Amino acid sequence: MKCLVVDDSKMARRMTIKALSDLISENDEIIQASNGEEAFNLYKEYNPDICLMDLTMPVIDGFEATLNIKKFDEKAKIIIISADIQETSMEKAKKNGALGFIKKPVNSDNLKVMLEKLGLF
Amino acid sequence: MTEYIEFDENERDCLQELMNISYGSATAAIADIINKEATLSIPNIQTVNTKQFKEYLKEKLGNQVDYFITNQLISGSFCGETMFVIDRKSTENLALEFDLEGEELKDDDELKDVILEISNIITSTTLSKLAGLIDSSISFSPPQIEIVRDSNSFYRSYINEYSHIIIISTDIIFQEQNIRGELLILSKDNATIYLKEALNKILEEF
Repeated sequence: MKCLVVDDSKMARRMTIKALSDLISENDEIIQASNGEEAFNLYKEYNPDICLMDLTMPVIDGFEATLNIKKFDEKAKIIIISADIQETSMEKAKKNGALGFIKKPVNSDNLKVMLEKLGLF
Repeated sequence: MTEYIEFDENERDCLQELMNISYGSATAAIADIINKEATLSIPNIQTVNTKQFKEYLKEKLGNQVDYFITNQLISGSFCGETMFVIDRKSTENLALEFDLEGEELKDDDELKDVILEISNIITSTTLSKLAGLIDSSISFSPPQIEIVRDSNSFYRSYINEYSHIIIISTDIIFQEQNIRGELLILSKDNATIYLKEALNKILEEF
């Protein structure tokens, strides 16, 4: 499995990767991007199975990146991991094509619940 | 003279992320109350000395408009104070969302009341969440509010007690309603050392 982790904070990416590493095997691949533009480019290059995406980021935010990726690949599986926990943000992310929303801080439990709920784990 | 306390890149990134999480909860609480969509900004972290802080305030309050400024002291292992800064126009727009109208919008006491409540929610939600994330416990003094037009009328002598100040600032923005406010967290030297240690403990985990 290939997983794209997108967050402008290195710390946040580490937290997501730690949560992921409890769930995936050593053979799985994790790719990292620090903004929405980089995420879109890496998505096109690596075609990951899952994309874990922050919302508040420089250059291109997670809303737009989600939209761009879904336009490129309508089957893309994008899960938002964000501190922006407003209902409107969750709805907007969903409207742009995100499958699920996890409130920060992420951990292996809430990530597992989400992946299971979406049938991805 | 106190040694200058700086954050390295990892500590800064970690603090920024913790603030992002904490402020996200506060923003959601306010957005929920007024039932409007807010934009989250990326937290900005600066370490400055007293002189630089004076300059910072001068720049921030230098637009010749009224600002409503609340401040609350924080005590506990992470101690210092918070300031919520919002200009009059944003205050009036925010008051409209609380159904104030006509003469009420010209009544400074009514406006102060709105800002005190909003600021209290933002401050307590953000700081409580941050304290939880760094495994700390804090308490707050009751908020105070004043209207200022420039930094000279606001700057207080007790700020000299801070030899170095971490300014953690982040905006709450309701684009459509034209509301913009900023939360500043000022940390005292002892608290900065505590915070640095707490951040490193978290960094060790990841």
